[in-house]
Amino acid sequence: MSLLKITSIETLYFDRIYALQGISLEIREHEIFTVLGPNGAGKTTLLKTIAGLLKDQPKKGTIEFNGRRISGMSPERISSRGIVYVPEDRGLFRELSVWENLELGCWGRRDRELKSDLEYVYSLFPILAERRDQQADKLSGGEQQMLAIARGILRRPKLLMLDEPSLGLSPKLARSVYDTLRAVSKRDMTILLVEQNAKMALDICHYGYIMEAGRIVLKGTAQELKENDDVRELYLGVDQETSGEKGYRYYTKRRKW
Amino acid sequence: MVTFFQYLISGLSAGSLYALVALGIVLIYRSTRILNFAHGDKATVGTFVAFTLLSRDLPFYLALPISLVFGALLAMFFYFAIIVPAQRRDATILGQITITVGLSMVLQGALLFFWGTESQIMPFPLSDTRVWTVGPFYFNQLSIGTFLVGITGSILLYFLIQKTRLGLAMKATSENLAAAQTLGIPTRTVLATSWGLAALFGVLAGMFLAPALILDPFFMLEPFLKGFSGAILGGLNSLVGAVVGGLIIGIVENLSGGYISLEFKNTVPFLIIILVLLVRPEGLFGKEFKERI
Repeated sequence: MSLLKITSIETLYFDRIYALQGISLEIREHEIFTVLGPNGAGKTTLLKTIAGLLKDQPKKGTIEFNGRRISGMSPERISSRGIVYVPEDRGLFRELSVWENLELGCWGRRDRELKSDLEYVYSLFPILAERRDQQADKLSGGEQQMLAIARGILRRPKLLMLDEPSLGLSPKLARSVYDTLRAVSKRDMTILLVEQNAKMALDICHYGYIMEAGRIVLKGTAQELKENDDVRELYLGVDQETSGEKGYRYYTKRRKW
Repeated sequence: MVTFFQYLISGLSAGSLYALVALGIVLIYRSTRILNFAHGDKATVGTFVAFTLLSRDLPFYLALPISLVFGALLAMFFYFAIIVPAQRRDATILGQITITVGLSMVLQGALLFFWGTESQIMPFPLSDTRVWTVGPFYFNQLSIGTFLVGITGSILLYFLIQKTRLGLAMKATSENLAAAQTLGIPTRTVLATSWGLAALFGVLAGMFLAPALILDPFFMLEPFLKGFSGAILGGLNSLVGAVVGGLIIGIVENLSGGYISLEFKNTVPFLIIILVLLVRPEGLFGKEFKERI
């Protein structure tokens, strides 16, 4: 059953600049989805639109979550439906301590599993337990990302949306963040990733969408995308375009989308 | 020396009320970046409600909470009825500040309409003519009570913000609104609570100032300006700064009134603010805005 269903939404900035031009996508439960695309394709706008952070957007189209329409709701209400958005800048409360950030992640939760969830989060990221009383601003980039993800998990979202979780991290650290995401997705959580780092994202996701200039140009399972010639060339950087027999080529190769 | 301490005592007493006013201003500024120019007038309205209740022979312990709550509700109503719609239509911060100036005028008009221009005397359980003598020092009942209320109020607010979840949510909302929203924190309610609390503290200050001053629709203007300068002196972002700033203004005002001339009572504090801001533009306790790049 589809968890999130987006039907031809259009999002505009300043009422005239189209950022999303009729995007439709569907996200099934318990899987990892990824949206790839170059800068300015509208990936972040897509996540912000889903989270309800853009006022009066989407202008057209509907977003349904769990079969109920959420487009046009306030971000607080969307969040309480079970969608957590971890923005590109991680959205931490920088002046507050690590612990206070985590506590705010538990906002509105009073169930008994809270304690075991906290322990789970600490077991995923032991460094956070160590830095408990440190100011979030003083954490390293990787630790900040871990804190942002941990805070998201504590809300027990049905859908966790992450904007470039590997941004600014060393390859090794990015890898470990991704491993965590894979582990987390097994806990009754659907993940929607937006990435520039196509290889890493395609390694962990089940299904992917490729966006360009506000449109979805290609979709398919991770395997299909990995085998697609254009994706390989443009996003994975393998199979460099070979020049013709005479050592030069006459035209730039056209993408098939 | 004795007169010095006498001035100090009355300065602390006045200053603790300025601190309450300053706290209200800082609370709103921190969470919304709005300088609330209607703060003094909301306090005046609350004080007049208390005046009406007290002159109808309602006991003080009932009149106080009723007027505090009235002031808080008025401020929350103002937030939901005017500020929220303005924000929804993308009002700039300057626009919203101008709205508070406008509201200040409206409230003044309402005060004149309902209570008239005549000066009133507030019936009050504490009196400044009842005096205790300890050694060479005089303490009057009103200033002791004022000081205690001011300090208790500041400490209560401090604990509310530092130790409760509501306070944590207030800090989170003021620091990163979008992140607070995506965590499902009811930011509107949190902000409305800030407005309500600020007004509550304003009314509290107004009620204890009224017996010392003459109660008329404009009696809060001067204390408001002093609280405002106390807030700026302490750094508009800092609650501790607001308390310290308010106290400093109170003390300096009384010392300059006593030693220089009574005409200077209102001027010297502002001169000092200018000097302090020349050296530390962010105020005594304010943090300079820094961002890691």
